[in-house]
Amino acid sequence: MSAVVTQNQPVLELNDVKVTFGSGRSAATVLKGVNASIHAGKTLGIVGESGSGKSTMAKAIVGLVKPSDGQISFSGRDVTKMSGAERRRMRRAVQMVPQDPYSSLNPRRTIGQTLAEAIDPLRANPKEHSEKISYWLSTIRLDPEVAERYPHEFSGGQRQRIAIARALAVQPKLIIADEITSALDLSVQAEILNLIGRLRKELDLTMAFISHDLDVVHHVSDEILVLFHGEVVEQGDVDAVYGNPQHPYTRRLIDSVPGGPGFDIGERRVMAR
Amino acid sequence: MAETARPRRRFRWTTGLIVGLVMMSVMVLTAILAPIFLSEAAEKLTPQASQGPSAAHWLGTDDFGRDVLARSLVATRLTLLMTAATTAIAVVAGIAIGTAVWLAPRRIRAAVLRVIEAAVAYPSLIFSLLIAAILGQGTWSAVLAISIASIPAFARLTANMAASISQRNYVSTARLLGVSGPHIITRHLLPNMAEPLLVLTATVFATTLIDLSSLSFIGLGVQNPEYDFGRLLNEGLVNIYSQPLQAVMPSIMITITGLGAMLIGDGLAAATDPRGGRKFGSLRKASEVPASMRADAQALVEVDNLTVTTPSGVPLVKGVSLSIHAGEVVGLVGESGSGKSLTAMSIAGLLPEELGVSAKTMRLGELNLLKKNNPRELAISIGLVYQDPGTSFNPALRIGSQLTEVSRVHLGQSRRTAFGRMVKALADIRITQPEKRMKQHPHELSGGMLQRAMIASTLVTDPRLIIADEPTTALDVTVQADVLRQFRTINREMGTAMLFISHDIGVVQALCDKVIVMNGGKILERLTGEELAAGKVKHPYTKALLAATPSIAERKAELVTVTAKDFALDEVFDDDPADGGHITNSPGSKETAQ
Repeated sequence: MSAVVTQNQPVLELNDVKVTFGSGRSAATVLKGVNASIHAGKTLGIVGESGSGKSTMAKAIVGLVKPSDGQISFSGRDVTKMSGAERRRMRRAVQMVPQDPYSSLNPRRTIGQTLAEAIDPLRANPKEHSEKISYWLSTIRLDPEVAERYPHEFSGGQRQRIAIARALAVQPKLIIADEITSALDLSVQAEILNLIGRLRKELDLTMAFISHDLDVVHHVSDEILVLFHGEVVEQGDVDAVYGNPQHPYTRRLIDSVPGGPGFDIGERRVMAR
Repeated sequence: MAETARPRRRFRWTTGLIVGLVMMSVMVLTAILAPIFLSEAAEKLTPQASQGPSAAHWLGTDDFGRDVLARSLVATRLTLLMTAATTAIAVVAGIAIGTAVWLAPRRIRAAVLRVIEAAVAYPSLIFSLLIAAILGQGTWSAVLAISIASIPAFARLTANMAASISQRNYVSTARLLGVSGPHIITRHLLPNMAEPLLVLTATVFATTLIDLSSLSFIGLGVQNPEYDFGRLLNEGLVNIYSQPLQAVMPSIMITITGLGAMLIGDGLAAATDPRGGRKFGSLRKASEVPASMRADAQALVEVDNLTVTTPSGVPLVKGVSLSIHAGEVVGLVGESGSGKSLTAMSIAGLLPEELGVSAKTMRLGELNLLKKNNPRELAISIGLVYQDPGTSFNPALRIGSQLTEVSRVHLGQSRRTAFGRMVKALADIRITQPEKRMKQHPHELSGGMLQRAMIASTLVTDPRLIIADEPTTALDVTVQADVLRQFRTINREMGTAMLFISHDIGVVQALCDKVIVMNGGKILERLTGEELAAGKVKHPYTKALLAATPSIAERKAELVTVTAKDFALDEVFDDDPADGGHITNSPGSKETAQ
């Protein structure tokens, strides 16, 4: 039962993971055999358009969706074969930062209470954990005093930082960031991306960064995985994939980014004057 | 749940809550004091039976010579006790059942919910009559009967709200954190359903009062020699013609108690929400805007010194001037709250009535947009494309009838002509099988196809201006590129002028001839699309925005965060030094801000 953790063993490994919703004739296969791996300290960018299965992939990794086939392993241990109790213990090893900073924080709980729950889900008393709460708040560059406040007193960017702190406070092996900047304004997005960049260095985070925004994924990732209709069409080093995409869909995706080198929407109108 | 003191949460007193509390405290005081002082007058039999109002007996006496007023006041105690007990049983049992249902496995949950729903559908008074009949007459059997009858409503509300709140992200996140089911209920579910539960509690209190009184009134509830309001009404009924006042007092008491309970419920609901009582931040007064900076009388669209204010006088758009020439694509770019959409919507005449719009000039061709215009003229001169193609269509109607609405209503075309032209317009923007699409419903088409159909429908009236408000924001990148290509083609081939609103600098620089950068309701910079693409920007805010944008074209080590001082500066002018008196430091260097 003891898993040998070697230096080269990936933190997360997906092996031919399939997810099917429904059954019989109405069954829809959303993930059609996905292989992926993330090594310690690395960030894997997962890109794809709506319907590509990237959110389902995140939910399968976190355990909110049960794969119909294949293995998901953390540090070499297959989660799909674990007993209920073991899986519950594993649960805290993967944390997710959700997309919408407005619905991800309970409006009736102070920031301190929210963080205390992440630190100790049984006795979520902010007074007992005030030191840790202050530590995590300062990690995300917020004043420790804000622990007393409620979510509605914060801007979208600040809330997203608090959601990140909540995920960090669990000290998970892997963080899944699901479209964490897509609800934010440009300047706020920059603030969050900078924070993520800094945390990756300081805390040596291992992360899956899911986004539809190819610019953002390019900015934060070491490796990238392109999903198309539930299949991985391309996977590899960010610069290699962006610089020389192998699959025609990846090429089309990259050429569709406004401001990118391959972007073309046709000739401008010749102005009369 | 009171784990910490909550210094920042202020209780909000509303008039309704205060009135309700006053009414209820009067009733509670009556319930405490009346039996102490008035029992004698209320219960002692005297020879002065069935008398009218007098100085000794303000509301007269009943058949046994007891004082009607005293009896009504003394009855308050028993009535309130019964109502409170009934409500408490209903609330506690209802919430317990409701949350237990949420924790139960799916099949049991579905079965129990059906049972609860059937019970809710059954009139509670009849249900309680049934229970009272089984339990027999008497005070406590009435309490039990009515509380059991009120439980389903509570259980159903709790279960439904638990189901909806458990969809929120913070509940799924709590599960990931390893929080147990009961803790999720007490920390995340119950606090977030407090308001509806409080309102329902108050409602149940009021209806319980009436149900209990009804049971006593028909003789199934409180029995002699005890008496509550219902029992008094029952006794008063016999003499309703000779002594109407006997029935009046209990009725008034029932009304006051019920009303008080409802007012308290509503008031508490408003007060428990920490988000309530928000005040608008005091905005700084807009600086004096020089009149007519860039309004051009030759242009197709001329907007001179447009301001939009809220009803309370807070300026949202602070003196915006711009012009759009025929055939030109002008982009309005800015972050949320910059006023870009408000500016565009005031040109389209689509702002909510309560917002105050004023401008020196605002016109499209010779059409004065400051006046109330003929809707027909506006509809055919301006084509509108909205952000979310999924919600701008009515899901119940076929695509065809929605797309041809403008041509049928405003151009007076027959159904067949309009249909034919629309099919052609769809084919023109390369929508496959246009005739079949016209007969389909919105959910059968993809988002990109709906947005292209929307664009096609704006073109059939041959508008002079298309206003597109974040038309590609909800679309996937490859679809976005398609739609942008469409806009470009329309502009090139038909020469239609466009006002294109977007938060995406990449999109704006690729599509637009001219770009206007807005923030805080003001224009900060005007430049051409090429200048923006080449990074030739002058305003610190625009520079900061560019430096804050990640790009696949280059890997930036650190994104520059936009700081408050970047916003504070006024517009930067390039060509008219005479106007430039109030320009703040604009560094001379023209290189790209990285």
